[in-house]
Amino acid sequence: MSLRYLAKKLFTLAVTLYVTVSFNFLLFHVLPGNPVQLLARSGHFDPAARAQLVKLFGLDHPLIVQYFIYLKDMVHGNLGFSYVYRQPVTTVLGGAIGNTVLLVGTATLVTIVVGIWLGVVAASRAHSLSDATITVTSLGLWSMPDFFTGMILIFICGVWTHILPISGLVTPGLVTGTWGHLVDVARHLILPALTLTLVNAAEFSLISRNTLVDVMVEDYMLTARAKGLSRRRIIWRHALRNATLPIVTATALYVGMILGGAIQVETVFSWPGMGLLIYNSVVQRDYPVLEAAFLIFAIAVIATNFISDLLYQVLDPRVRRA
Amino acid sequence: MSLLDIEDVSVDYRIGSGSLRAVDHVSLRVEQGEALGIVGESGCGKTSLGLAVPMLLPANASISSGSISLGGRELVGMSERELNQLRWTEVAFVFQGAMNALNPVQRVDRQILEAITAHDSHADREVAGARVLELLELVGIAAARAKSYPHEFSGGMRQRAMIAMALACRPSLLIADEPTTALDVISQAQILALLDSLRRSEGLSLMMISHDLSAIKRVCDRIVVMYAGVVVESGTTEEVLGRRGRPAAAQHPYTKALIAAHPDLGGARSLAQGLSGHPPDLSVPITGCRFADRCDSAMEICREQAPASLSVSPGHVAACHLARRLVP
Repeated sequence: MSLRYLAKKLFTLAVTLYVTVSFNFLLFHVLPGNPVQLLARSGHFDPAARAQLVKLFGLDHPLIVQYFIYLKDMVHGNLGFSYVYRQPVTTVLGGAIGNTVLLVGTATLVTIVVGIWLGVVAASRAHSLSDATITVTSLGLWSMPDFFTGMILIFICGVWTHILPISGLVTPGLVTGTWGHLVDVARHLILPALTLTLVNAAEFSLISRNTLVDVMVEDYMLTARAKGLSRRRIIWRHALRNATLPIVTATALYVGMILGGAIQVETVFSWPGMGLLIYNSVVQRDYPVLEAAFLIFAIAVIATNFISDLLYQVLDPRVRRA
Repeated sequence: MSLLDIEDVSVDYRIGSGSLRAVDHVSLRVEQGEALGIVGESGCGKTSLGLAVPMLLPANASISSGSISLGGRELVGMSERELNQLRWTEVAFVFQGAMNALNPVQRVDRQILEAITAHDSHADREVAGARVLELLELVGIAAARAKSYPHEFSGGMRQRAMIAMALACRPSLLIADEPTTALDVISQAQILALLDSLRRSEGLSLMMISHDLSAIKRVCDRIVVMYAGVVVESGTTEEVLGRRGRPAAAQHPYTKALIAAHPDLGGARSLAQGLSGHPPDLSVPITGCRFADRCDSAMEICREQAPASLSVSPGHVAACHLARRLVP
């Protein structure tokens, strides 16, 4: 990978980030509603207090000045002050981010491993019964909305059989040691992570199956067979290696999808992460928190795309000299 | 005993609800150290026959009759495991020049090394690595270029790398399917000269599939002419195509038409003559001679009865009602 390429990509990344940050600012400043009134949570209050609030939040400045203040604050890691929690936004988000990373990270890992494995199984037995079963099941799961899958799982595992907790991060009031705490969190993690995994692994298996089926008919696959390589080696070394590019693309797009899915799933399972925070902030019109949450999601998606661009360079020698 | 003995082999393709017989009861032999050319226009079953030898036919094709024996071992019905041991060590393949036969994301030396280590898991890495460089050198690729990716090679170099890979496990039979198609004339000449010299230096038997008569003439001892899935004529290249002043003694009108369609640079100046029409549809049964519809000399019997193979001279067979024994 050339430094020139890296520099070019980093420049694009910086521009994209800047535009996203600016758009985010604009979005929340053209929304209807008076921030001071929202902050005061009341229609009638003392004009002196109101003036004080306006001054405190810098709303007496023109929009362009507010924009530069916003940029300056962001560089200093100051994302504003939550209307609802009466705490800095960074503090409010801090707790939620970790929980979302735990949920989304677990789901992503399982999704990639299971999805690709199912895709390989289906593609290597293309047009067989197991291929049809995997493909049809995947299509079915993929078509289901996250919250719907979540509710079905809640019904089966929580209401019906009581085998798993269906809400929250920990069992309220449970007093245990570190190990017991970890087990408790893991048990709470299973259902929301499973929900996210079911939908996304279905998509992954379809993408990897179709890519692999396309690769299998390439000329070099015939060469691999003619060389007398084992079936396993042909599939994992030659086919999958050539199918990685579309799969990496799918992964990059997938991050956007799973963050959207996290909002639904965290709401359904009351998982105290970014998704639930966003849902609550929308309901309670906590704009500063929303603004920061949107920004973090946008940065996550931009960063993933950046990484996948770099991965292309590593994975495909043909694009290496771009 | 012949190295390769193809006896009465038929290859059927399932297409939609019906089936198509691409190779129809073909028999041929390749002797130890011999170069056999298989010629015919597109869709006459040459490639299907070539792929059938190491059992590499696509999933919708099957060998419906006959036997293929290589070095005395029957390949039809052999288990995939046994076939994998035999592939590349006994019979290696060089695919069409136009094909994407090298893995685009693997370095060339790795691909050749893989062929060696796949068949000898105890191979010493250093010895095998040295062998890879030696093979590349043999086909005229410098060791410095060994770590290249296929897209960094020219078409001719890719094909030479393919040949180096084919030699990796010292096979006794090399099947080359249109090895020079889609290459420029210089590369074509290089590849043909390479195949010719390798077959002598490495003691290879060669089965070369081509529609290019001059390529066959350049490399092969014997020629088999296929048309619409059957062998219409076979004999020594010298006798069928003519060589060193001897006129071509081809008996079958199809062979004659192929020769006429090919300009002879050394001979008298004349315009190449095209052959009009298409090979017949193989998904419907054919009565009589398959070439009758395109044959200038077709007679009544040609449309009623398929011609039997007639030995016109020792080692020269033609399947035509008009063929007559050659007077020596």
